[in-house]
Amino acid sequence: MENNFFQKNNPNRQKLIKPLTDLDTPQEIANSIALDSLTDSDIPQEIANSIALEGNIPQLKDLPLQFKMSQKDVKNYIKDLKHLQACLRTALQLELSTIPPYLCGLYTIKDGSNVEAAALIRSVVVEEMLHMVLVSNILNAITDPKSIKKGEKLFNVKDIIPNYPTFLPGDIHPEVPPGAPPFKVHLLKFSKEALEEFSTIERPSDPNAPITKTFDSIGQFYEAIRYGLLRINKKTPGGIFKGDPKRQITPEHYYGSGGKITKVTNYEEAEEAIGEIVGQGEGIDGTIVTDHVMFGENIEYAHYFKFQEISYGRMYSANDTNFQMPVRSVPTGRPFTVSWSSVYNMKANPKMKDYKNNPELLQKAIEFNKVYVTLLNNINDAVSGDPDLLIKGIAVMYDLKYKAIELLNIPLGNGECAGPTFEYVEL
Amino acid sequence: MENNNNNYDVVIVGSGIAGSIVAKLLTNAGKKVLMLEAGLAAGIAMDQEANYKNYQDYLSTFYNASAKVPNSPYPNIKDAPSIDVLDIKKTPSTEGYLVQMGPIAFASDCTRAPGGTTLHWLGTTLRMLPNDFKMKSKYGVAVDWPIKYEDMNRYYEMAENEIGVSGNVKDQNYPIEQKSVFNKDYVYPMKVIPISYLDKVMTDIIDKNSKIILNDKAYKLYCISTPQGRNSIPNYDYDINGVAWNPGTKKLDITRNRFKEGYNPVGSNWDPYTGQRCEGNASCVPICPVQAKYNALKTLRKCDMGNLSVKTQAVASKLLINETSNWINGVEYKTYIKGSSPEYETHTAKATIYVMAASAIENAKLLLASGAANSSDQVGRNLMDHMTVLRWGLAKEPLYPYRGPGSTTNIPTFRDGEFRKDHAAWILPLDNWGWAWPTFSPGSDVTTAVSEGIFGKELRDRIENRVTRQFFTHFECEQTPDPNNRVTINPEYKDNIGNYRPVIHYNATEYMLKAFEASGVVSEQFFDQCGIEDFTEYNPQDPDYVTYKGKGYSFAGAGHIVGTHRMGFNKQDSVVDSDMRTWDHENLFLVGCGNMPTLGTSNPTLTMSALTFKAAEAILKQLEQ
Amino acid sequence: MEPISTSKLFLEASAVFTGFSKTELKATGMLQSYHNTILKNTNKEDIDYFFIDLNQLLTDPKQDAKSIKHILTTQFMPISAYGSLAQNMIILWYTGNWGNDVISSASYIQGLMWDTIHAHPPGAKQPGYGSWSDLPLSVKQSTVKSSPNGK
Repeated sequence: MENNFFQKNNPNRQKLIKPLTDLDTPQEIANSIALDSLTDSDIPQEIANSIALEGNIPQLKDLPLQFKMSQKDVKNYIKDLKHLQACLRTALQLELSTIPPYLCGLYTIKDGSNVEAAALIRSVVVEEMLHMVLVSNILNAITDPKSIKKGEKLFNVKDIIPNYPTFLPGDIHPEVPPGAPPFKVHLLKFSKEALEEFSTIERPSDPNAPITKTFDSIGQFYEAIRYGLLRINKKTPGGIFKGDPKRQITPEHYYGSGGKITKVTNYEEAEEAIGEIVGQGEGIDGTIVTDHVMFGENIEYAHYFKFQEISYGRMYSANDTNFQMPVRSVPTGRPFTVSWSSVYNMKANPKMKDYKNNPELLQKAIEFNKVYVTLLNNINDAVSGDPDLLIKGIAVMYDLKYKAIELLNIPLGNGECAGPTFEYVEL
Repeated sequence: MENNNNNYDVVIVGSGIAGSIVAKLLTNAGKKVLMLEAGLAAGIAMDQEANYKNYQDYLSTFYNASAKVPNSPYPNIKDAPSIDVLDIKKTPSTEGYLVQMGPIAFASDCTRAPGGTTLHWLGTTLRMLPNDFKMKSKYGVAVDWPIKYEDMNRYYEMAENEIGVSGNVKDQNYPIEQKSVFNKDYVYPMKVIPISYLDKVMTDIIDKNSKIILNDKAYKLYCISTPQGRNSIPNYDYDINGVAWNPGTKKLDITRNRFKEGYNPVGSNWDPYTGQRCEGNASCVPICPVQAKYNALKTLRKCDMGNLSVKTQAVASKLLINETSNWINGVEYKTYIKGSSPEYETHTAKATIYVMAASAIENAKLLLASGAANSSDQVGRNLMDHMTVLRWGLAKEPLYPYRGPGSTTNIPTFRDGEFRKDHAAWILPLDNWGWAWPTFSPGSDVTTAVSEGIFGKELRDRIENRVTRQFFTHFECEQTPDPNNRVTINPEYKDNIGNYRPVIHYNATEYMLKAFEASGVVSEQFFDQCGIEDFTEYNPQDPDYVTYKGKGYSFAGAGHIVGTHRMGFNKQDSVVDSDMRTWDHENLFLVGCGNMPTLGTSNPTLTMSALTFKAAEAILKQLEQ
Repeated sequence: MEPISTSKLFLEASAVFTGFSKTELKATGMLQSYHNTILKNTNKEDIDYFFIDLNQLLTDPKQDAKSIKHILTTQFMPISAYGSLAQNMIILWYTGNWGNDVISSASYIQGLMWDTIHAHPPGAKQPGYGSWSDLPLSVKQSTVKSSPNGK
């Protein structure tokens, strides 16, 4: 039994995504019709009132938990190839924007404590990097090499780095508790607040949520991309997958987590790549896979649930199978220790300008950011035609950690310590 | 006492790489196996949490050890002691586990713990060369093997699959007649481990210089990448997926993927996603923190657990021999309770076939203690090692050592040639860890500078300037078999629970001394031509200091303990046959480096593993007769 | 002597003797542990005089960098001065050892000598797959900085 954990390929990890045709549930159509007349989607109260008036829709008699874009809007969100490429660039930024907060959570755990939590967060970070690569593969697959200028990179490192606290890129607005400000991503030390934030980032769509004009989850955003890929590929003569296969990152370039790099040269492979991203992120509609057992120590599952495990200080077990949103089931597997105190007391959202009165500290922050920019440059070079650079380029991740710990060891004098700022600097 | 029912097909003594390979093949072929392991139970934990915790304990012990020698992370148990290089003293010496009678000290160690010495091996996996198997007929030195290189090829492929070797077959140019020693189109499971920055700088320099004159003959030094058992990028042209017993043909089959899927790197024992690539910890010896480096527990894990029982803290003490049939009747073993007290219980393990996999020295010691397998009087004799002469100096430019695996490039020039008639062959690895081995750098550089009164920025600059230029290489000289280099036992010397301690007699023959002299001639020219300022110093106080023609040399052990129960052509000249079955006892097999008649210039683990596949094949065949 | 001022002076002295900046030393996270180590292992009188004399020297307006260096070399560095405190302190920071003893896992890992030689302590702070095949990152980045072609 115990050997199961060590099996190399887990068949249950496949098929992380539902086929597109499954997505038109009658209930969603009903929701969509009910809200079609609404034009201003930014006023949740108004929506709530309108739902309350529509008392004849049985699924909505409870207070709404989430608001999301209608299925119809999701389907038609992507306008054309250019828009699709722009959305994929946004997806890149989206994946990147989640890495610094997770890394802050990870780095602020003091060595030797919170072993399980650190391992879970670490695996998420490695997979977010994988997602960046997968998105790059899709983008490269639908980018005609003739349209690429010599020396042009897939993205612009300076522009892609978010300024924390930041909204999630891509017009994604996860639901927040009543009265709370709109959701923004902060750089926080390992804490309950941070875990709450991580879960919010990765939280799956609620199929029963009422409709707005924005995405309520990363999953919904990728759904729009899937529809866009399918539709635009179909209606473009010769298809849109005209990318140079030599720009694809292939499986041997990636390691360290349960994910798999998919080379993308056609629609089916693009679909598979998105399956990997969304499946790992949140599961689809709050499930991990469509049918059978979802959890247990030998199964790789979605980030949202990994964060739930940390929040509860318990692994999921093979008996935990109820994952329709909103997730009510509490993990019931092996308990583990979570210590909120064995943590570096990092100042929230640190910035280089906070250190301007301490030139030596500022220098340390700059050094960290140089490594961060080097890492992004390396990834950018790898996805811009030099795939072999990826494995060594990503090795810079190690140095990033050591530089971050140096900052965390430096007290600021008010009980807090310095921290990594994840800002752009010139090399 | 144990029940005496013969429930097991095979008893294996030792969970190192040899024992684990046999256990894996046998259990997966449906045979019931009992494994006895002298080390602590914690080391064999199979569940994730306990396994991780135990390994973190090793790591933390290593961090806190003042001398970070190969055995420093692992518990040295009083009731089952390990040989430790810290105990090597001028002979005679009874310090430590070995009793060293001399005239010089045997200089290598090994580990008694679950997983054996693969816990701290470097991981170099070069094959032996064709002439290494026929030293007597080719060069008139030592003995021939009863097996040819050509017979070994398929077993080498099995071993390279099991260990997971990273390397570039095309790089492997040796100083031999054959164009290649590999099967056509063969590739290693994983791509070459990147060679170090130091290797690149030095290869450039060596390629332009290094024409060496030795005994009036000219040689050209050249560099090749070193194959090694640590994880790298999978090679998609590699199609072997394993080894399986074929009951029809009574042979082991190499099984292949139908489609080229490449090799799947085996991660750590606690998490399959840790250690999928070497992360450059630069501590392969004594411990790879992420287990990107192969260890035998990775093989043990692949056993069919339903067919495997493991008893830990179980120290084999004697083989029981049936006096009429001369078959082995059982293994007597002592189970210690704490590891530090003299309390133990005695048990007997019984099976159809017995396999000794307890290391060359332990195997020999146990056979001697049991009066077993020794009609040839060869048990314990021909103890060998790579007698290793260290050379170090400062390069003109920084080489940035102390990074990456211990060695990623070697100079194979003197691995084979006519000179072997006169003196030993050697391999010359370029080392990535500066002067750590010979001088305990960089710590010693700091204490020296500080004792000279240097401090502050000046100290920082001096350490940077000097240590980054440290170049180190070592001549691993092939020791030839000598019957007087041997393991014996003596009732005067027993350990905490009454088992014999190995008593060692050891010396360097003139064949070796000549090689030390030649290493001096070569390194002088090599360093001079490559602009390396020589800092080598051999101290007459070193435990293994020898002189030849007025010059002194210190040698070290390479951790390659070989040759104590060699295989041969008949029951007069050897302990085992070419299937590694003892000539004297039909149901007793010996596995491990003790079987090797000669050593060659490659680190022995790969060859020993290949031989173990051959032995397992013979065992399975015998069981199914 | 006030404990807080000793701790401040310890940082000051460590920076002077190791050649690392105070922030670099703080960034190791070892300050407190090392301060305790010297307090525990050095004669109190030696410690007191060491810090009093050092403080006096460093705050003396008549001294310049050259004369300070001379006095440190002749009055503080000798093995006979203050129970070898200066030498021991440097070795502690550089290697993580007090004499032959490793203070802790962290002290081994934080030894300054590894940074100094652009490497890392064996078995810790690993730099990742293939890193050893290139110049160390710290060397590369300082070259980028000084290169006129760098952005």
